[in-house]
Amino acid sequence: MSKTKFLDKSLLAVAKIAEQSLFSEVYARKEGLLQRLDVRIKLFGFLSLIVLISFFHSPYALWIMYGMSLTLASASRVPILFLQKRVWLFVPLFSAAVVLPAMLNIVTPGEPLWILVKLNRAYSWGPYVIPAEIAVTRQGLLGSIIFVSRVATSVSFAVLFTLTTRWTVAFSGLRALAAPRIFVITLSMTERYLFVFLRLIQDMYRARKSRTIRPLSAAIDRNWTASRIGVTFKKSMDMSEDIYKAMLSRGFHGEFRALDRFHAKPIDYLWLVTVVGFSGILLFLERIFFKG
Amino acid sequence: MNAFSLRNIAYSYAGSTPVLNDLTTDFALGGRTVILGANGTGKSTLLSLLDGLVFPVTGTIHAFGKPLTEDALTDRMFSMDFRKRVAFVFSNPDVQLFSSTVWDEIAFGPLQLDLPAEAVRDIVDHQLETLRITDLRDRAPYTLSDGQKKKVAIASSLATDPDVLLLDEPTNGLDPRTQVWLIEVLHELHQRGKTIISATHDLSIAGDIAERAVVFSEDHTIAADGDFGDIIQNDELLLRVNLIHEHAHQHGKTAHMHRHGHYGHIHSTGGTMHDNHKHHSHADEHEHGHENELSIKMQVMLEHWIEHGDSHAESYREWAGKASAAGEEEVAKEIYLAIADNDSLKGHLKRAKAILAAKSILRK
Repeated sequence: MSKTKFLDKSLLAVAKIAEQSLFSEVYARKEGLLQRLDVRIKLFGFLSLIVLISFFHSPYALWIMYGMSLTLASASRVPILFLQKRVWLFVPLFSAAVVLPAMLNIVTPGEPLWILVKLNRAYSWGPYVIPAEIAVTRQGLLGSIIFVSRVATSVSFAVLFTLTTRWTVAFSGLRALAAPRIFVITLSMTERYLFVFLRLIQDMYRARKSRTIRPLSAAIDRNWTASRIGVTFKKSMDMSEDIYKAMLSRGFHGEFRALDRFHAKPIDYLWLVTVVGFSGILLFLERIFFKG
Repeated sequence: MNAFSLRNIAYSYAGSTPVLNDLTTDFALGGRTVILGANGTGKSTLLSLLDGLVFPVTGTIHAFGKPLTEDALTDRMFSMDFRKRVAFVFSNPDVQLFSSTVWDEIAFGPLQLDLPAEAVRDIVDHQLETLRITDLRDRAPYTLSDGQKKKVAIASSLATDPDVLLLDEPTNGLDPRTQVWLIEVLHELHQRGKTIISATHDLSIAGDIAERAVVFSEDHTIAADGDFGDIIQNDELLLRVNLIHEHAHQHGKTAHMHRHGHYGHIHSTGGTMHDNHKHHSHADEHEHGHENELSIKMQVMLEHWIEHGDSHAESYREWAGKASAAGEEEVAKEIYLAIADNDSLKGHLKRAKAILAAKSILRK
């Protein structure tokens, strides 16, 4: 496969994945526990859970929390395997760079478990010391397990929130957290027009493909790709002017007014008390029974 | 009283040739006007001028008797009053639908006009119901079809109950059923005394949405201004302004040319036949084509009425007249019966549709 074909395919794949993940909202439209919740309470609940997770020190407690995210997914008709894939796609990305060195006695001194490299002698530069035997330590391994478990559990809750909440609703929920209205509206307009431009890019590629008779040189392909980036930028500028005119036409005068349409029900509060209460009790028990 | 009075208007975009030249005209309150012209003649720019989105280089515009200027629109009271009274439906609905849901989109205008929250809720619900789009209320704009987007764009423009509705290429990308829906909505608005100014080059809908036509020529001046019925009969004018074209094609060994537009009601065919071309069956074929066009449109209209069970006596009368003019007396009779006998409305409309469908099959 040539480099340009690879570029073409990659760009289209990115557009497709972005379209699927941002706009399909398959699970957000299902009738499940989390989909029924008021977005403000749901957002507050998930943020509380993610904050609480950062206080846990025991891998067992973190795994219980992870189990809770899977239970919530199941009650919200989100396939467990699908959620796992989403979570474990991100976890190595976020944690590998941190975890791998942290397991070694270079970063985390302690009781060696596996010796990886033996050097002639120890080296030291000021406060930094490389021991003669570079090894995975018990303390380093435990710290890494806790770190990965914490990241995985946090990501699991974050992914679960995004999967079960429509973006438009999620943005409006930010208002409940006192996010400035202009910030929320800019965010939602960005998401709304991202779709229009993703479609535009796909159409440009398809239109070109339909008129391509023989393979073109890599240089022509690169020029074309660069020119389409320019065209997309120009179109986005033109469109932003028209959108502004459309807003003016309907009375916009520099200040947004919006109506919040939230309806919190007793079940929403019950959910919040249950999940946050459970996590709080778990944290309390962990502090009593787990001495690290 | 005039909704708008324009005197000696000229407009040009920075560094380009003028888009409008020495334009002087009035738009009466309650009138229905269609601005006709080929692409790039300045129709959309005129609508932007009328909506106070751009301002003339020379000349004056008065809206409801007051000068419409950039300075005037900086006055919050004037601006709010003007924006409440004039609404603009853009040609590209994606431009107009910038909110995250249909509900928020319709609420945008009333909220900007500082209406109380409860009133805004009532207005939005009323618009959703009136335009029969309640099922779209929580949908994001990017999930809508082109026809649905246009419906939402119109609903959001009507949310402030404006006196004047400006529409830029209103039929762009609409399927026949949505076109019929649009005609119905505009008809109802006209009945309620609204001023409707539409810009289009689509002659097939123009007669349904306006009595007056202002025709723009390709040199950006007004080529004609008058009764739509008179203008549509003026082949020379329509040809000159590039709204109809001479269509050349071959019949066996004979090449010939005739004038061709896309106006489906009182069709303006019958252009000059060239050289030795005789009045042979082609003319009949061509007319049959337009009869078919009318028949199809009428069938869509009937289907829409049957589906929704609406009672629109004015629209029925108008279409019964069109059916009668097209020689479809039986169809006209059924529509008149539907007006007279509301209980059997659907039955008569179904019969009218069946007659048209049967005739279409026979013609084929």
